[in-house]
Amino acid sequence: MIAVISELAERIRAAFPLATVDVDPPLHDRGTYHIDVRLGDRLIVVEWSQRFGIGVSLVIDAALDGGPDFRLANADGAFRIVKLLLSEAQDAAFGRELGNWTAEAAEAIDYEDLAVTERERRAPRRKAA
Amino acid sequence: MYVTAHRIRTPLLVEGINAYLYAHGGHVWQVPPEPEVEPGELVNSLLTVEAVGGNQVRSFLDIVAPDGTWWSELRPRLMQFVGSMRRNRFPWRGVVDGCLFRLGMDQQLTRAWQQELAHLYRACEMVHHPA
Repeated sequence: MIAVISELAERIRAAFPLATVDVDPPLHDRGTYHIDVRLGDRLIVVEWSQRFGIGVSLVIDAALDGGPDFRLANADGAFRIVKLLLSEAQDAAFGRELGNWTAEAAEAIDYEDLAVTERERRAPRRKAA
Repeated sequence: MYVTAHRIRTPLLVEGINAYLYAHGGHVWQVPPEPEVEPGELVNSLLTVEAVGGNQVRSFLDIVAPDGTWWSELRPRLMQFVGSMRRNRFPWRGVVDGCLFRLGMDQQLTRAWQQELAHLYRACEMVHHPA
């Protein structure tokens, strides 16, 4: 897995040469590897462990860390999420345009993307639980 | 076109964002069609989770607009849509200048809805780059 981590770090460096990419190995074999990716004021952490697989988080406040924001099945998925989060950082105005007011969900909602089972030829249809 | 992004969670708890772009071709409409009725033809996808189908959708952003609409045209309409939903609870749905927008997310994601919308919007942008 060390190779996967180092290859993922290299892919991120190649795609975002201005980003600082640091690989932080675990203290013991069964520990968690981390890749810290910094671009501007944005910090993204990729973590991998034998037990939990690959996680990716946008770190807003380390004190509020509640586990990874995204859990991916493989390094390709992790790379695409990192790319999304880093490229999003280049458009900081978007968040400002939205404002900082609070919103609410009407209820605990649950959707299923049933239609994409049909090889994604139809719109992902959602079904309320 | 119909461009959509979802944050999905699989039964094995893999979680990521997938986005899809559908084209309506030469079909001209006065009122934007509902994606469930007429999604168009799938022309591009961005998959961070490859196990598609039957997953839990935790959040979604749907945009229906004429094919080839630029993001510089869509974005102010999206902002107008968001502003008009200020007093509404998710899920949101609205039409602005002939473009249909739908946005929903679960209660946990709602706490940071701006951040979640930014993720979904960026995923939509990445899957749809008008030439």
